[in-house]
Amino acid sequence: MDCAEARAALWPPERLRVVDDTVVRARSHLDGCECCREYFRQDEALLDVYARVRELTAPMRVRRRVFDSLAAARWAPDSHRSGVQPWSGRLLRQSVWPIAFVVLLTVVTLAQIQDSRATEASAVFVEDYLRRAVGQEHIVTDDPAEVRQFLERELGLTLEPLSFAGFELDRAEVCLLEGRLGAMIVYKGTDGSISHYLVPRDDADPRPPRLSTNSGGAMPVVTWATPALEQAVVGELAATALLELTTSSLR
Amino acid sequence: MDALYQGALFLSGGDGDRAESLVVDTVMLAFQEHAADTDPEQTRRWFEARLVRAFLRRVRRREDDPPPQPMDRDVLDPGVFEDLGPHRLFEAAEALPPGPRSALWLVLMRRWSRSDAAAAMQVEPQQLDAMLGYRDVLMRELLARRRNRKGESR
Repeated sequence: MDCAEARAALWPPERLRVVDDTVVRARSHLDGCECCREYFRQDEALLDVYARVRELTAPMRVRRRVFDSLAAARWAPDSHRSGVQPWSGRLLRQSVWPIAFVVLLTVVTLAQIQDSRATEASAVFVEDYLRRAVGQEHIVTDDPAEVRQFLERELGLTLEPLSFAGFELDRAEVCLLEGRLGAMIVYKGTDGSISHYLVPRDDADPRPPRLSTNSGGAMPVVTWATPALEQAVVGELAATALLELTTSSLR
Repeated sequence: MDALYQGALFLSGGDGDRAESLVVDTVMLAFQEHAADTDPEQTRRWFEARLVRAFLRRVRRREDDPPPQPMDRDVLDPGVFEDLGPHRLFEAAEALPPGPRSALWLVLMRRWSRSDAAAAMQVEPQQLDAMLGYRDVLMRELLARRRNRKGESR
């Protein structure tokens, strides 16, 4: 066995392998070959150098570019580019935002709860894929200041997270809703959790909180809008309780 | 995303703009081809293969990359790995032709087997072996104290 064969047989050296005849001969070669031992020593050192590369994180600018490109392909009229059928219609009009929030909730729930063996519709998979692709990170915190910084960093939003009576901040993460980047803030209570969605939208028409009539009874959704921001709260509560809770939090 | 970006930096010789653009190309390509795979390791490899292909396709398609600055290597300075940062590695990578650069990234940095790397790069195993021979060049570039033509140490 020559040097090249021995190195190939033992590559990569850190991987566990069945010690068959080839491996035995390769190791035997190594024992008598200073050149090969030096090769693997250098390999280890090279890996150490590359480990320092892992400290470099992709700038937010890259994630934005990826998001913009993917979203453009995903929601472009010409769906051939993505190979995915578009969702029915352009769900960007005010009257259908509640539906979109419910769909997003479904996606998030599917991604978090369903068994990975489950077969997802391609649209759901792509939606989740995009959501994860653009999310630099989620944060798990009960500190409103950290959530505020997260919103500012990820979305350029300057606002305080809402306070819901009986619920505590749990985490915040980036979400994606019909091609728009938003945030989801999750609150935990003793009997369940609620999620507050915020999606920047320049032409949002301010309106007070109201129960959605489009959620099909699956889970209550309260939607409202403030200038340049569509918002919704979805939670494991009775519909009237959720509306009351939301209204109180906005006072 | 971070791992892809790091690989793109290596392949782009540390050029941030080209690395960003390469990541976008890779993800778009992956987005169009992706078949759902629940194994994270397989997904990682799947993306890495597409990163290399996107890089090689770019290189073949256009030659607008500025050529590497000519440098004279003078003194080998072994045993200084611990002082080497990512940018030194990227500089060394930039001195390699695109094919060997891709092969070395897959095999040495990402620990691909030779056969898998050859398949990902769509080359014969013998061609891949030849590309991996550039490892010595990478090491020399990495360890050498380099001077530009003005004689300034880098």
